Amino acid sequence: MKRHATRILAFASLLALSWLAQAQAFRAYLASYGSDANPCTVAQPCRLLPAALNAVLDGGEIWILDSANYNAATVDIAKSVSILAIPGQTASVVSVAGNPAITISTAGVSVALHNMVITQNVGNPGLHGIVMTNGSALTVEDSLFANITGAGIKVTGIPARVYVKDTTMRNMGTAVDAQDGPTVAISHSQFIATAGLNVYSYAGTTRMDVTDSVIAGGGGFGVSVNTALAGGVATATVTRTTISGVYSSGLHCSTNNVGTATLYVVNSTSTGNGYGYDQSGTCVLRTLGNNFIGGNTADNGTLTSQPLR
Amino acid sequence: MTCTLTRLLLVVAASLLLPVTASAQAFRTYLASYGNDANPCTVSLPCRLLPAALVAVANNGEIWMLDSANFNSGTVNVAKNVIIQAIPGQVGSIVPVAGNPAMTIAAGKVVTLRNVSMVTNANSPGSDAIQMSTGRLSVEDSVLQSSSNGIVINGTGAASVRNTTFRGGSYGIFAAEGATVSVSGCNFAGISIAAIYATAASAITTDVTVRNSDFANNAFTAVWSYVSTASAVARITVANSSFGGNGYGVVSSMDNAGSAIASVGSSVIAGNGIGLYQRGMGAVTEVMGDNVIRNNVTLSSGTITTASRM
Repeated sequence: MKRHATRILAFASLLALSWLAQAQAFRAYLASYGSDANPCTVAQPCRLLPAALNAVLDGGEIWILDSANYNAATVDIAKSVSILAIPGQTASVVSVAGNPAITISTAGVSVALHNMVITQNVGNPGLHGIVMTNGSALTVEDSLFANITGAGIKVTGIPARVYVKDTTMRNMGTAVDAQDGPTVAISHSQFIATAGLNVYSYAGTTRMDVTDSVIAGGGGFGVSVNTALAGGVATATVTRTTISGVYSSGLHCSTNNVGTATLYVVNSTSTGNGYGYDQSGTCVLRTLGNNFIGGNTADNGTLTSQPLR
Repeated sequence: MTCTLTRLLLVVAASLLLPVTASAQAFRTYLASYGNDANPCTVSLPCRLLPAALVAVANNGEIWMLDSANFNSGTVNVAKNVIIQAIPGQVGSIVPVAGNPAMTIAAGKVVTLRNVSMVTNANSPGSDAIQMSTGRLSVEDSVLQSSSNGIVINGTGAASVRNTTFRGGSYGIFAAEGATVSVSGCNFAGISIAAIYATAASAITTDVTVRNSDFANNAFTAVWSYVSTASAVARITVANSSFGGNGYGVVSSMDNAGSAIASVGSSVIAGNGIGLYQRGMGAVTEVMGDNVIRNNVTLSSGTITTASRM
């Protein structure tokens, strides 16, 4: 009987060990010296993001321990996770082979990126930085997007919340492209030599709030608000922000006389652009009387005064 | 027979592959204090100086400096699109030396510098930190302390400068002949002639925009737009910035012809010799009506215009 009990205990121990071997950790680790055959622990880190994503719990964290590149192809993030390079290091994720660097396409997930570099492999270029077609939230902090052919962040067709803080995007096709549903908050960020911030609605409500940021240079618009179909609602506010040197228009607000588009501008500067502001259709461009819009080649359309309260 | 054929094919394939590998340019190349320019500039075999990394990197690629050291011995001529950055926690030094600039950027190139220090070599001082004409330059999280000028743009190039300190020298940013410059979150101190100077000597517009920046103790002027040529336009627009301890704060001046404009809004101008200065028919120094301008030896000189806000 005693021997039988010992055998049962041994079997239970084996089961437990097996479970532990496959258990997902709250925190998984990556390093340039890691291997994807490792368990992604701090002592035995993995090498690439997909391995760490497999190893981490839903709602967990991935810490990147040193400076290197951490993907070989598009990284699809299908669980809620925070991915961060530790202070003093730089972690790169590249878009490659015509594809995005990162995709988020799973319902309900919340993803946070901190201290990351999203760029493009020049030998085999990708397209966008982050493409979000499903999910609950995306947060990007203290990060750099550079030299990407498409959009830095592209969020379409979902009511996700997107937060961008203390981040630089330069030499991009478009910086942030929000269409048909998302709500985007951007603060203390810089957008250089890129078509800037795009708020577009064919259907649903899309919103973007930009504060304390700089948009400079680039071939397209600084901030652009558009609707193209009757059901679309697009709104943006621009507060304490400078838009300069944009080839087309600093503040762009248009509809095809359908939908509801509104652009609020507060305590901001639009100067040295093609158009300081370009309003057309039924889009309402509301200014609060405390902006400087001057030194542009021209302005177009109508400003609507919005009293300070 | 099969074995011999396989070996032959392998040898041929290897001989074809080797020259390609030896000359292939990498998307990302690496520098380190322990590197060697005979290395391939990889992370495990980094190079030592920037010219070697620039040869090894592909156009539109990146150069990472892995530790803190100086990474040039003469002027670095950048003739391809590239990002040059020291990794966080380290500082990559590129010095102006022997009367020459630290870096020149070839026409039309797109160059980014991040987390670098460009301080003149005290034993053999150089001239400017960066010289360019056209193309596009980004400078982020860096320090520029030259014995001449920080950034000189003499042409239709564009520059954006963020979170960067300019100390000493004659000019912090010298923008001329159609340059477009965006400045945010920067500090300018101890500069002898102008922290930011915008000018044009032909029928072209030079445009500088400044946000969230500090100008302190610059001997002559903080920001200065100047022209003397018909149809030339020099414009500086400043928002949310502070000026203190400068000879002059915000200056527009012209001789003969042209248009020089200096605009300032939502800023603090205090403790300067002259807060606002305007001289010449084509010069406009304008305020937005929401600045704090106090405790300057002289509040203003010349005609100060209040711009309409929208």
